[in-house]
Amino acid sequence: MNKKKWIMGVALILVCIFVLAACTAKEGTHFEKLKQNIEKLQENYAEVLKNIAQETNYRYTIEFESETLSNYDDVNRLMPGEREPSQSKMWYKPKLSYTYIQDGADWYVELEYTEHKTNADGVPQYTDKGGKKPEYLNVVRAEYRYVGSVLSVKVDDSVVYTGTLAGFDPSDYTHDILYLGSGNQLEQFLGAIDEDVVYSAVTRSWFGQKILSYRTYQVRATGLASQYESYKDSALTSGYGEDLSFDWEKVQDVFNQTFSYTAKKDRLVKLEYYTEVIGSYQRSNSWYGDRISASKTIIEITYPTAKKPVTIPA
Amino acid sequence: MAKPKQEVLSTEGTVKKYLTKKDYITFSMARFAASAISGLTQGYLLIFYTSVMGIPPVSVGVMFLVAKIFDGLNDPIMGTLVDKTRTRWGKMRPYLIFGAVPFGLITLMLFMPMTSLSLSAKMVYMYATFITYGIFGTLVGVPLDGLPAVTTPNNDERTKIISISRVVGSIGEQSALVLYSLFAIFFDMKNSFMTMGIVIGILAPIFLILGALSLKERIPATKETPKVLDGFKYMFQNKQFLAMICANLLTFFRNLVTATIIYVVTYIYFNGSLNIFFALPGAIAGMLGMLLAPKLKRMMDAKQLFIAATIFHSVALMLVFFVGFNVPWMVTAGLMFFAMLPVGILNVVPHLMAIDTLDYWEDKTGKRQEGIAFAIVSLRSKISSAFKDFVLAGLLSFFLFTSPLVSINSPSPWQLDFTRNGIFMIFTIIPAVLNLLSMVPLIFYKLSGKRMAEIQGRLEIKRSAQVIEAEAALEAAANGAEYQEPITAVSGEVENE
Repeated sequence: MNKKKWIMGVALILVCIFVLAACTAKEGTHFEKLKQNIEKLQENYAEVLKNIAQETNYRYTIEFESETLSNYDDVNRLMPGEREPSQSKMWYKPKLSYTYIQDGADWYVELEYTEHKTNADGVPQYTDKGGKKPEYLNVVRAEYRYVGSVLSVKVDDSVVYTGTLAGFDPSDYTHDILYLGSGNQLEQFLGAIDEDVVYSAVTRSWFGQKILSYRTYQVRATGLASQYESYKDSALTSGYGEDLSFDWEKVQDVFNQTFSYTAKKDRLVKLEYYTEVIGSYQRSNSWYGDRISASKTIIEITYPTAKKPVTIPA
Repeated sequence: MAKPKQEVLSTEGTVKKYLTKKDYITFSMARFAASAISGLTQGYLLIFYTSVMGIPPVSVGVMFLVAKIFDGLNDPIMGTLVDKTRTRWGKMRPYLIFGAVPFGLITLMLFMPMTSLSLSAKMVYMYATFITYGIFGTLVGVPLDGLPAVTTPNNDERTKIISISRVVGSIGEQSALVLYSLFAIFFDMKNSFMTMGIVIGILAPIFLILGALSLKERIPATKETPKVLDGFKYMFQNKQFLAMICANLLTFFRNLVTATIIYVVTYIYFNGSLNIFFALPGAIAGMLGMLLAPKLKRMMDAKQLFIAATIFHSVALMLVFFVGFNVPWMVTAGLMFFAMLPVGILNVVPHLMAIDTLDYWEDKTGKRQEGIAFAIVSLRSKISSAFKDFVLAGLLSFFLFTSPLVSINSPSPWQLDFTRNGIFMIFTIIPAVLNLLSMVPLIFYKLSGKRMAEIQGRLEIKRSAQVIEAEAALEAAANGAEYQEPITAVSGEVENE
């Protein structure tokens, strides 16, 4: 039995060692490692950006989805159900898809916007009682074709403009979809990495693909006019790494972004961008945070091959 | 004169029955309760830790590895403890009666979302509750497994109660699946898990206690608790057994499939309530496979059956992978049904192979070391389970699975495409390829059908001789000579009631 007790003792000590080893690293070590990870990520990122800037013939599609909690009271910081217990969460979920083709100096854009139906009070409508399946109103299409320095714009298959690029102003038209943008949207997802807000950065290599991903956290104090600040030195946060926590009583909301770049042979083939806003709310005299909006953007880029050239559709 | 230690004949010459209908029902419900708890923890604890508690997958994987191996080594100690217990209720029932409530409570505590704690505190909570759960699980599980053997000296009754309770138990294992699919319709993930923990944690002890109160311990079990070290010695002596254990140890990769279902439905199909449509057909397919196994065993030997089932499973999983997840979920779930058919066979084959290695060893040395062999088989099962969780957690981490930093009422809907593809690969192609590794140790497994027929032929002759010897001993005993211990399976005195 003594031997058994000894084995049990050693096993328990090992368990304790594992628990201690698994706990968070010291603050200095954590941020030093984070800095190294960011540097490594930036090296790869620069390589990917350099290559995409040199491309003159490619195609990409953007799939965008978002969800916003339409009945969150951001002034009083109340979640649905807190004021009226019967009220459930009503998510507003529009969708957008976007195709861009670059062929030398010519380009082509096709975009589709799927509207989530709302009633006269702006309350989103659903096809099920549980409020999980949005009722979509309609799909609006727009097409921009810039070929030989002539821009032609179509909305739902009707030509609304033909002329120079500089002469086109969406505000001249009643179609909201034209405000959603034309031309190359890729650049807005390829900006410099703001190191100050980066929370984690990782690089993975997998069967000839390189995946670069980083996540940021920003927080702002109560009041809708207050500005977002980095999680790092904010008085509204405590801890670091996975122990990072927020003083929800003093926080209006937390904004986090995740960027991911997938490169194949140093060519950018996929870009993912996710956002999430976590709003504060009170329940039983305690303050918490929960999602009040989120979005997902997936961009997939294809390059011409001998078999599949990338051209502007006729 | 001492009472015969065999099945007791009634005055009419028929075999006396000891168990009532109520005994079958209550014991089966106890087994149902224990299986419901194990189904809950095996199926949902990893996703609870990673997606609700926000603990990084690698940390959870290390914890499972450490705690489950600790638990495996702990088993024989608990066995010894039970063996040495002497109370007026018997040696097993007290553990069920007094261990059931703490076991239920610790199950409930496992699924308490302690999300406001710091990561270090969450880790300490996770280790403390899971290790305690393992200890109580063994404390209740060992007597629950042993109870049928001591509740009746009637072999038929014993076989019947084991079979019925096993079937009911396998249904119990799926109860968490049904509950989760139901709760996921009404609650978010955090509250679904918490409610499941509460429901199962409260109801299971009631059934366990009722089962223990209903059954009586009529035979003092004399089976010695095997020592792990003896088991290792035996394993290295019996090379066929070693090859079988190594092959089966590597089958843990196929358990990744069922363990990943909850991630597939949550992060690929964004609907937790689909869990039942993925897991239940798999469970049914597994049962069908189990029923098919004895028939197939007549057509091929255990090794061939193992290889054929492994290849079938791998090929079917590869097919699911190549079809991909951008198809209606019903297509994936339907294909998974076929992919899971050989799993039932693969669950039975290790036992068939273990029996073959026992026969081989008995033929070679004259010793039949069932206790030791099955202790190692049981340890292998726990180590496989530990490896499965560790590998799954490691793969999730590699595929950049994101645990939520802030406790929110739903898991983040956005995992990277790399992560979602990775989850689908863990569900299909990774186990499909790695499963094939389990065939490698079988190169050294030489117990073919022909060889086993020869071995069994020799053993039959040897056993017939032993039966004649035993009959002679019984005859001598009937003629007034001192009674001698029979050599057949069950021994133990019938309790005076």
